[in-house]
Amino acid sequence: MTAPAGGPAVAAATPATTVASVADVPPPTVPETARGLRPGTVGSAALWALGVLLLAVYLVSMGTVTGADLNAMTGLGLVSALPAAAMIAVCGIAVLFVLSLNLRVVRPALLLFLLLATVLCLHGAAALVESEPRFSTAYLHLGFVDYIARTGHTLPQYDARWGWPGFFAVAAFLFQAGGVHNPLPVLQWSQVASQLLCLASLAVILRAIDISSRGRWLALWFFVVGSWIGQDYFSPQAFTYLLYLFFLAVLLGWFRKGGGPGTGELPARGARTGERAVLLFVLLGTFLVAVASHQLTPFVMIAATALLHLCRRSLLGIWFPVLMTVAAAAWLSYLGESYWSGHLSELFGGLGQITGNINSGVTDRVSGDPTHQDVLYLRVLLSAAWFGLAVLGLWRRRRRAIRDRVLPVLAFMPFFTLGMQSYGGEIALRLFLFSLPGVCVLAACAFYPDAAEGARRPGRAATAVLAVAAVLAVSGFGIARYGNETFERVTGGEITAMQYVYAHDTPADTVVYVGGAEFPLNTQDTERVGYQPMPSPTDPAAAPVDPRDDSAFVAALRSYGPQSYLIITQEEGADLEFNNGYPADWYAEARAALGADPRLKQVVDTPDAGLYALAAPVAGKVQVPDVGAIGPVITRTPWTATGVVLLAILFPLLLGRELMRIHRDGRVAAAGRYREWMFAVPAALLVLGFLAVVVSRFLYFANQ
Amino acid sequence: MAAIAESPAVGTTHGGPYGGRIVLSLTLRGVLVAVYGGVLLAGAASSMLAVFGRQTVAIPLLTLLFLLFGPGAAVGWLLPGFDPAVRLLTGLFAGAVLDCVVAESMLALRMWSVRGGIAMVLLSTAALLTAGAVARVRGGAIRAGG
Repeated sequence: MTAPAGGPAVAAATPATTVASVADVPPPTVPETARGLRPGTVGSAALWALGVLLLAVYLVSMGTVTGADLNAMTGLGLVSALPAAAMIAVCGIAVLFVLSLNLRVVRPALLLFLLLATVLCLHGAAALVESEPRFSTAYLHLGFVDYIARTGHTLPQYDARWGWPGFFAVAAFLFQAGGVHNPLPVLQWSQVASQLLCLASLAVILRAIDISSRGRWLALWFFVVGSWIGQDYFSPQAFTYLLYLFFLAVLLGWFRKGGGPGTGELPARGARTGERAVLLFVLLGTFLVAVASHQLTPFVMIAATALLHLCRRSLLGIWFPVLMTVAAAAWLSYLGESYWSGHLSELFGGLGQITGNINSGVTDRVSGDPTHQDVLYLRVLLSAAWFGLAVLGLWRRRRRAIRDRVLPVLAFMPFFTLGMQSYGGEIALRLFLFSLPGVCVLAACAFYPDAAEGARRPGRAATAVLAVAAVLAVSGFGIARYGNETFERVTGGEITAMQYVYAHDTPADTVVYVGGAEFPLNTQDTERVGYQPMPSPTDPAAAPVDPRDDSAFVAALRSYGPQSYLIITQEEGADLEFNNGYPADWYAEARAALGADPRLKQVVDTPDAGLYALAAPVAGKVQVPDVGAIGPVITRTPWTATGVVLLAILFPLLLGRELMRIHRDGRVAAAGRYREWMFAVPAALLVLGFLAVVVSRFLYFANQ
Repeated sequence: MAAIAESPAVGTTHGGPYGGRIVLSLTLRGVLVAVYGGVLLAGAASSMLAVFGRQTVAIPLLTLLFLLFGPGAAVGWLLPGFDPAVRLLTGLFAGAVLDCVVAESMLALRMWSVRGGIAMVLLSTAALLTAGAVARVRGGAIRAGG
């Protein structure tokens, strides 16, 4: 509770003088009971005691989960390996939260405790029971960080993510400066930490919304149980999502206008001109870092800023989102060049394929083991349920004559992402991720639709309905979030096998794998270790269905020459079983066959993973992976320099314009309309000129 | 627990957005501020030593703490009208943004140097503190002049 940056303590500790009053219809005086206690003190103490007890039960029962339990996971994922006591405890905490929410007196400390307990139980579950941090993509990102720390360069042709290396750069800088040699604990707890920082920003966002304090607490709790997408691991998306929420907090906190009774928002807060200027730089800096770190997030930020302006809820002028667009286009055109110059059709192929993106988001991911298919359908159902609750909340607010503008923008604006980007099916998941800050508040409005003034405490029937919904949401979270754990988990054996590879990668190694690369690959030595799937033109999983027939493995190792290894892991076996319909004992059979084959030697033998090399040396040269030229690379086209000059003019011009608006508190005097046009026409021409340069660079490469 | 009190919203119209406040006693608040300031000062000193190549066990840890919280504290100082929690949150993110801008600039310009990066963060923090001091002196002068 004393941790000042932790979640809603941030807002809970706020001096009340800075905001309008939002207490839920309190009784005019505090009636004292015969024993001199405030009303509800006994109930509150009982809820505290029960909360602590349930948390203790959860932690103790999670401590009993063994590696054997995890190995016995079914298609339902982690939930199938957890003791019943843990699941009852976490559902109990959900019910306690609902009961605490509807106490006669709002108890912020109790609600905060239960909220943080929910974060730990739901988002820390894997970290509590698994010996190694999840999941393989986080290890891949560690490899990018390792490469920057060792060389100070990027490898833009190796992977698209290298075109947006901001997150990897700052991680490398902080790890090196802080002497962090083992970043695995950072990976292990990054999900819990990320969730707490999200909650802190969301708590500030909620201070702008005209909703009862109970509604605010429920919105925070809904955010925690609605974050089942699992994009909060050590990744650029997690980092830029934090930046997105903080960006919204600043935008809605200090660059909002309007608000008041019936608008859905509280009256905008004032700030001194100097302070607002500082915040403008912070806002822009946050956006620019997102531009340098992620492909998609900046465009969601631009859409949010532009729509809030169009809804007349932003003090910032239309030129600010224009400035943001120019910055994002500049990065894409110049520093992201290596990504798109090679595959223009791929990049723009995703544009406009809305139905295709939705269908592939749903159906492509639904194949293989029937139980696991149910998990995937549940995810679709859960997203629909959350959006349904949000629509219900919006409707109930309208019935109370509250015409929200900010919340619908936050909840439904991200739908534009369906029409863009070549994320393929994954875009549907990202859409839900970006909608969640708005969806969780509107879903809370479905239960607490009242504005802050005159809010009523719900009756017992409403409390019971909310308690049922809370238990359903927690259960849905457990399955949707950890449903892929059978093959997304990382085991100690896999790490041991890969450590062997890195220890023997002079001058280079090749690692042959099966399935969807569900093991911690590329954690270090990117330029020395190549990764090759089992070659097969027809089967996407590319492993022999009969595990006793290992001649294909031997042939693959021979074809990749000296210093090539075959890795077979339990998670790869689970991936083949659940996603490609392979038999359940495929892994054990394959390990037995490979271990008995005299043509191979087993260089690493653990229960979770085996690493194999050819027993007899093979002739030929060691294959060194082709990682492409180091970056960043910017090709000079005839208009490249002109673009840089235009950018150097536009950036200070548009930023200066916004600083002037702040100075005038967002007002444009009627007499100043003429001067407004004098600015707008040349600025628009410059922006068009710059965008023409961006297009010309695309065309230049398209014609190459 | 006497240092931390909960003030629920009953009977008051100043319950705050979350229906009450968690109030720290003045003594506890003073201790927290002193610890925070002390760690930041030690972090700044360690960062300077790190720039000049000195390495002990404590220097990297304190340097990391400075990189995470130092620039943010300077930004927080530029926002005197805001409540401490918002200043802390803004400072935390602003500090991360500054670290990221420095790291990304070194990467894009092919001038990667950890010591150089720490020096840049130190200089930026000093610049922010100077700007804050100038603003306060000018603000004070304007207020004094009526």
